[in-house]
Amino acid sequence: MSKAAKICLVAVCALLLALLAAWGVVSLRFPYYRQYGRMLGLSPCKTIKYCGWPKKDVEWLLSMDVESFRGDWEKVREYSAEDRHSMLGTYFYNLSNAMQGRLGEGLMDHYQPFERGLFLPVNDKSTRFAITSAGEVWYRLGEMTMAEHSAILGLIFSPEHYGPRYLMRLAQINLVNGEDEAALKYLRMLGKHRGYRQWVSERFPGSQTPEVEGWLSHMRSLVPKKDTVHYASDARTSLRLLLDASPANNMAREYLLCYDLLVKDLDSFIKDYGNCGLSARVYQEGILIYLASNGILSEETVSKYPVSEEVLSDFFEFSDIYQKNSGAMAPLEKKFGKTYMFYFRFAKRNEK
Amino acid sequence: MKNNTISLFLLFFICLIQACGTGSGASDLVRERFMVAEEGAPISPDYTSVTIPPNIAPLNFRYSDPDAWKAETVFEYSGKQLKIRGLKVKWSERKWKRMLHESVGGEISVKGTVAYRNAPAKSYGWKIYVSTDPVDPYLSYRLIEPGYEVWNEVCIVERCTEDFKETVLSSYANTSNACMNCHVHCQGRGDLSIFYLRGPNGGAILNRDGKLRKLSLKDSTMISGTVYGEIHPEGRFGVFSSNIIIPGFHTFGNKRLEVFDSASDLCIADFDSNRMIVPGHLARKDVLETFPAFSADGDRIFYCSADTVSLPGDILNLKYSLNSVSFNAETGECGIDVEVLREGVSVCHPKASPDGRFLVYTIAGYGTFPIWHTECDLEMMELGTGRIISMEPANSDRSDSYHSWSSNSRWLVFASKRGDGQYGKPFFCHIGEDGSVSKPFVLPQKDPSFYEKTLKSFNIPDLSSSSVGFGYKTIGRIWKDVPAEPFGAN
Repeated sequence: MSKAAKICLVAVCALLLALLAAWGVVSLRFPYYRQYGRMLGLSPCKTIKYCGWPKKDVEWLLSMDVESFRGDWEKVREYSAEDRHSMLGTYFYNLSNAMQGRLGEGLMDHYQPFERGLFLPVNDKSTRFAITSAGEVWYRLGEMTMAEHSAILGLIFSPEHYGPRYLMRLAQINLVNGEDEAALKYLRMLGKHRGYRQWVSERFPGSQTPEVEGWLSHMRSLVPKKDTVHYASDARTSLRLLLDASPANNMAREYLLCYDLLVKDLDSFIKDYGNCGLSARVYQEGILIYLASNGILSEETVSKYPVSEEVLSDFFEFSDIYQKNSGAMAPLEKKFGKTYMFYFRFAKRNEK
Repeated sequence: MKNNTISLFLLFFICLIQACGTGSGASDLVRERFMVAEEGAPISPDYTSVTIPPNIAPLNFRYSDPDAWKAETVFEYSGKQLKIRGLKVKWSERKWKRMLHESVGGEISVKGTVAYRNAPAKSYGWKIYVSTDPVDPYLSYRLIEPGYEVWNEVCIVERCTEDFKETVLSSYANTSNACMNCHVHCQGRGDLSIFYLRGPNGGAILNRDGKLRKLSLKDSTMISGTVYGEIHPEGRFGVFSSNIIIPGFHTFGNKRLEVFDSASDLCIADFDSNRMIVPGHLARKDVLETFPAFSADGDRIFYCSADTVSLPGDILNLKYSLNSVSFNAETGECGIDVEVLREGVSVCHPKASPDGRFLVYTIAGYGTFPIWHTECDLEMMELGTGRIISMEPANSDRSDSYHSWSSNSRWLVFASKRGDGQYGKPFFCHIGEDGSVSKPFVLPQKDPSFYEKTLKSFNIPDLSSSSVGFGYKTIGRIWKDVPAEPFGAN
């Protein structure tokens, strides 16, 4: 080998080592970059090309997305608790709360961009990241059509039109739907990746583990039993059908009630609330606003709902201050800034 | 000790025989002794008992039994024998063509022997029938992820059905990721076809006698640009539908997407004088008219229509009948009298055979977008008698739709979601002189596992007797540099 060739070889090796070291540093400082890239089947270079050069903001988004896909809701809640007035941050915050049975309880503690913090809009303005994340809530609710739609869209807009994450989700959805042939296709493809073989073997139709069978049976109990056709933006129809199929699906109920509240449709809220008895403060305030705005706020009507003395007293105080100050926002913000009453009066939709 | 040694030796000998019997180099006697005859060969794709054209590309397949260890496949034809060893049966194109050449009008007997490590070998037998009717050598399709009306990085491809060569006709890479769709030929002619490029620089790309034009097939009276359609055999006119398309979602998971029209009309495009003709009686507000197609002689237009209903709520009541009206190829005018040919089901995509004898269409329970409808099947009508011919041998328990005729009217290609239910694959079936339908086979691929690995659907497969002769670079230039020719009202 000539001297020049040797120098070239050493230079190439040094470059490769430098790149490897750089990626090592990136992986240590930004662990979710690496994990997100792996879930999408991307090389380090492609991960950076797809997600951009590692930044803390992006790492924060990736952390919530990766952990929600894994189902580690404690971590998702931990990461999303920091209120950055981000639609995606709110989406994961609400989702982690819902998965822990406290969607209503935590709703007003966080920035809420109307219904878009519950269901991410999927349209030509949506980012590829948002499109991929949007299906998580539908999957967890048991709405497999919308979950599959999001998974396929994620696949369409992914850099490789491929990725273990999409294959896993599509396999799960098709198993729940009883579409074993489709599930097998995805499982077989996934089985070719090291690190997923165990996951695949546990789910292979005919040889599923008891845990997977239990999960399947739970998921199948959630899916709608009645078919109807609705528009993509019509989340309420989907949620109502989920509740028809499984009245015990509290996550669907809370999403429905919070949806009604966030779009300020109190007529629908009170109908959807029925006599479910959920007593998070946000629901109590919604009930009181409905009763007051329809002129039927009385001891008798309030007694039909689980409204506490404290919330009732706050409601009257809010109304007094509101009227005294001719609807000004500032005098109410300190005490009531994180209440539904405040949101209902002052939140304005930002269409940007 | 001696007895033990003999036992071990015998055991070794039996194992050796068994191993030999399942693999290469074993005598036929030993193989037969340890073999279990089976039905239903575990091969993928399923090429058992299919009728194939004499010019089709090699039917490569693989043994799909996960426990299979070794395999040997013997093809017997015209007194000759050809043996291929291995779980993947991949042909040399030269040998395959020779075998087909010598089997035209006859059959090929196939015997597959599959060996297992811990079980007796199994043998399977099946036949492949080689028709005398060739299939058109070119097939165009769009490659796209399963249909959600959303695209990214789409291509229209022309595949040679006689081998595995593919030519990209139009690519996202040359059109700034524009959507493109529905490349259809007129009666399988490579020199007469049309497809759409959508978006700001878009238009309908008309390929007529080797000349490419970009057309804006819309005028002020139409509800939208043209969507579905076909070119008249003489090339001057095209018949199209203009549709306002709305996507909706089923709540049942495996029913997925339902696309419907909030309005749709028919129109005629005159490519010579750049004018659109919108016949009032085929563009009614209370009726949805769509999927127009010319008869083989061009004297009639077949189309589907339905009374408007409240959508999406009444989608189950949206049923399209199959109709026809006369067409004047001198003036571009449509007749007034509408003949209803088929009703009671929802009919889509009528396509007349180039010999004028048959009309094939899809039938579904309801709606106008049957690609996710498991009940969606192909049906054939003999146009001379109105007799409906079942296409049961070609249909499956999944959607079978978007068909196209070979120019000799003896082959039909269609997109079928059979198997996984999610990805459309091009299947071919033979149509006999009497309307008999053969078991279909999927477009062969070089890699027998291709369909198990792809995440793309084959969309709108369309046959042609010759190549269209253009490629993605030309289309890219037209997309970028050529303004769409405007069309005006009649």
